[in-house]
Amino acid sequence: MKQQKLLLVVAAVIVLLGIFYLLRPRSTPDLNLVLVPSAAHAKLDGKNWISDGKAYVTPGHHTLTVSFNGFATQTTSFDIVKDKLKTVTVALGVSSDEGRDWLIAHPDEAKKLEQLTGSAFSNSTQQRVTKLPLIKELPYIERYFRIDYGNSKLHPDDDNAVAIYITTYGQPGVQQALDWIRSQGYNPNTLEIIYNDQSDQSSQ
Amino acid sequence: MKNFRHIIRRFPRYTVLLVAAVNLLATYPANAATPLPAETQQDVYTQGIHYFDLSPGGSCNGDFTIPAGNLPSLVPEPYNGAFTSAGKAYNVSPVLLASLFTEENFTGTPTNQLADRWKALPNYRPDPNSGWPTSPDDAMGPFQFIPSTWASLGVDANHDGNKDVENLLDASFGAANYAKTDGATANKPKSVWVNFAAGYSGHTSGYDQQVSEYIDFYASGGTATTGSNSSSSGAYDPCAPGAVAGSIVETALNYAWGDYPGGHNASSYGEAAAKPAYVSAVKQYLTGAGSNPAGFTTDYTDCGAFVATVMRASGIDPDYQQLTTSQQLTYVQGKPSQYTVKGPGQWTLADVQLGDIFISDGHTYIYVGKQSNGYSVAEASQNQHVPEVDALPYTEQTVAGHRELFYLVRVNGT
Repeated sequence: MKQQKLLLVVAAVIVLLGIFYLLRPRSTPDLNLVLVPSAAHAKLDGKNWISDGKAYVTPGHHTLTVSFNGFATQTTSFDIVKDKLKTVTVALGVSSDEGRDWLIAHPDEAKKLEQLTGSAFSNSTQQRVTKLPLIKELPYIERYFRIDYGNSKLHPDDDNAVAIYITTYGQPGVQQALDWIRSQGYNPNTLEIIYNDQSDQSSQ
Repeated sequence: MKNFRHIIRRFPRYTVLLVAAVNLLATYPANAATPLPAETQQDVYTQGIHYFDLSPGGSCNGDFTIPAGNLPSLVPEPYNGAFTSAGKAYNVSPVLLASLFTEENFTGTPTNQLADRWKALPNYRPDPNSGWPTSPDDAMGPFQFIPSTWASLGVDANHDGNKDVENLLDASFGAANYAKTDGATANKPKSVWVNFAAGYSGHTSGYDQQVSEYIDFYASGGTATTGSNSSSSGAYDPCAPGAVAGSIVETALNYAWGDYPGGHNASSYGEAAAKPAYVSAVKQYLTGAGSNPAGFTTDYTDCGAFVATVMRASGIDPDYQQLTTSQQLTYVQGKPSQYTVKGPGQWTLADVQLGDIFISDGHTYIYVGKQSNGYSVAEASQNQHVPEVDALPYTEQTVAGHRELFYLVRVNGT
């Protein structure tokens, strides 16, 4: 009997230790969530609200929806790998005066947004120049044409996609512009070119 | 008595071409549909514009260069338009013409009273083309030409077949013709203008000094105060290191590195990393700079602080909002008389002019024209780098998942 009781006690202790082990706080969080505004509402997989900062999230694929009054709601997906901290940065864009007023009232948050935006600005330039070095030569202006660059209309959401904009001021403009592009070592047929004929205005 | 000095044509051809190129650059985008001589168009855009490498901390002798520019709106029509068109016709700054007119007609008036004098002018001079006083030595018209000078330099600007010294437009063109003939063109330092003014007046005592103050006043957009050549903190100072009165672009280029060694190295910021002229200007023009460790300016990487410093130091807008980008956007939108703001989707890069400011809720920068390193944007980047010319402009970008849309801001009259 005594041995049976002892075994039961040992078993109970082992079960309790197992429960404590399973319920123990994990040493490292899985997700580092950076939100701008930091007070934005973030919902994970449509169910659980989480906030700016570090959090414990089960490994696997997740979808995060972030919203805040005056800012455009944003949804992003990411994967969590066990024991590996994932940093997810979501900066909401201002969508109304309410959002702008909020940033004005919270200069520290504005500073965070400016840091992210400034960094993205520098990176965008480098990526675009790497993809199409021609843009460093633009604008190029001659008597009957000018060549600029701008957003791609074929891939409007792709930051690195750049279109060439040719504005012409007379009949020879198109041909001269294309010849100049070729002279720079580029095949116009491989570029997205958007034309703007200003010939009528030039004769006024 | 006006003194018509001997005319010495001392303009080498390249100077004339340079002035013509700068003027074409200033007017080109507004007339983009009209083809221009190819050799002037591309040269200007390829070479960017000249800027001055002023030594920071040096003593200021009051000499600085004022670009052709435009007059503040306190100079009413038809005077504003007459001075401006005459200046453009002869590559002479309308600021100089306005200053000469001011001294001739509002002699010795303190600058803080000039706005009232201009307002009152129509009350006693209802017709700008007649009724001007004639001095004992027969100086006549709005610019008080003596007959011999007018005979040599008068202009029939309104093409009515008569060089009329009383006519505002004719006289304005005549004064501009005089200034150009005497070498006081828009690209010359202020000291040349003041010397011209001295000769214009026949070296009347105090005339040149008074004109000098009016030049400062009009070049600053009507904000410089009488006698101010060194400023208190925050006040416009045309002699601040690196500041070029009336020029966003040249001031920005004097404050930004052409291509900062190390590129966007996060450790390359702080007072030691920034151009000394910029450090000096920040401390002079931005509130709290250098004394607010938690503020935006102490590491000299804040984008909005850079633009604000340029706007304040150049005298274009001494009240330009210091921080943040959202506040700056709200600020310029609230001043339609001073700024034209085009929202996202209302402009393309083909619309961009030198000196234009781009603002989003997150970043702001200045278009300075293509520089030797191939880039055309002067900007600072929060915790990234001090001001440098290191990027190309664009209308929008992706930032942490959202599309950041830029507004295009232009100072009216540029």
